[in-house]
Amino acid sequence: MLGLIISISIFFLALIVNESMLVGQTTAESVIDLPKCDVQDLRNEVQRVYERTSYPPYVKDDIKDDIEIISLYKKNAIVSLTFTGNNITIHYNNGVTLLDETIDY
Amino acid sequence: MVDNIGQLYTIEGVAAAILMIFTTYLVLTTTTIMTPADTHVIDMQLEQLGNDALAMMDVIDPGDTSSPLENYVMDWISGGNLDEFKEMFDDYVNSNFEGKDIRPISFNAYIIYRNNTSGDVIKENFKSGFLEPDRSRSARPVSVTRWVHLTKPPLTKPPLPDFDSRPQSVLLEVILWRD
Repeated sequence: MLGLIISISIFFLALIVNESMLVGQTTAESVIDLPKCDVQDLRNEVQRVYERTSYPPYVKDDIKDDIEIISLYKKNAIVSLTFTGNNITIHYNNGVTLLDETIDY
Repeated sequence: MVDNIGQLYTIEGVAAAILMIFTTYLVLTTTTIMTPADTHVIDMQLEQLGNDALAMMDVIDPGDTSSPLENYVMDWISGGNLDEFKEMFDDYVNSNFEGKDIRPISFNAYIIYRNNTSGDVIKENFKSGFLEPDRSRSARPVSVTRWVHLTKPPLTKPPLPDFDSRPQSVLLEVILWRD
């Protein structure tokens, strides 16, 4: 009877090891897929442009187009920016990660 | 003489054997889950290193009006040789490995910009940093990017196809790999 009990306990331990590896891999993959640096860089750039009060609106619109179109062509991400009087909204979607952000001033 | 004690031992033995075999199977499938395609954790480290290096270069020093990265891009527009960019980037990504027997990191940088009249997106060579060109074949490259904001538009028309003379955002793409 002892053999059976030990077998069952080893079986459950093996099951836990098996599951933990699977969970670890899924978590690691989702971390790898998250475009953390891209999003931080985009936010930084957008804020830098917004904070330039010396630019007339048409210059800012052109820069907004730069960011949106280059993102679409080279980063495979849909970026949509809106500048209003006292806030910026950033919409980012690269097919895996979706981000909507509002920065208030 | 027929006894049923032996029968119970046999059933226990068979059940334990099956459990043990199944356990072995579980353990084996656990260890073989890491396939070669999953080794991109190393690539992720390289990506992070590249992104951090570019972020450091894009910091505006107190007293300055533009970041070193912006200055290098402006320098590139006016036809500079960009040795300082290469030196600085090399310094940041390879400084941890100095004196150690680790393969150094090489890179190839490009600038992506947009022409406002035609709407075209253009990619041009920026600078490369090969340390040992003959060894760069088995590499697994990763791509990192950084937005660079050019505040001072070039006054004269630069010798580049369709580069606008206006404040704009360009994308600096760096391909990194270990030689």
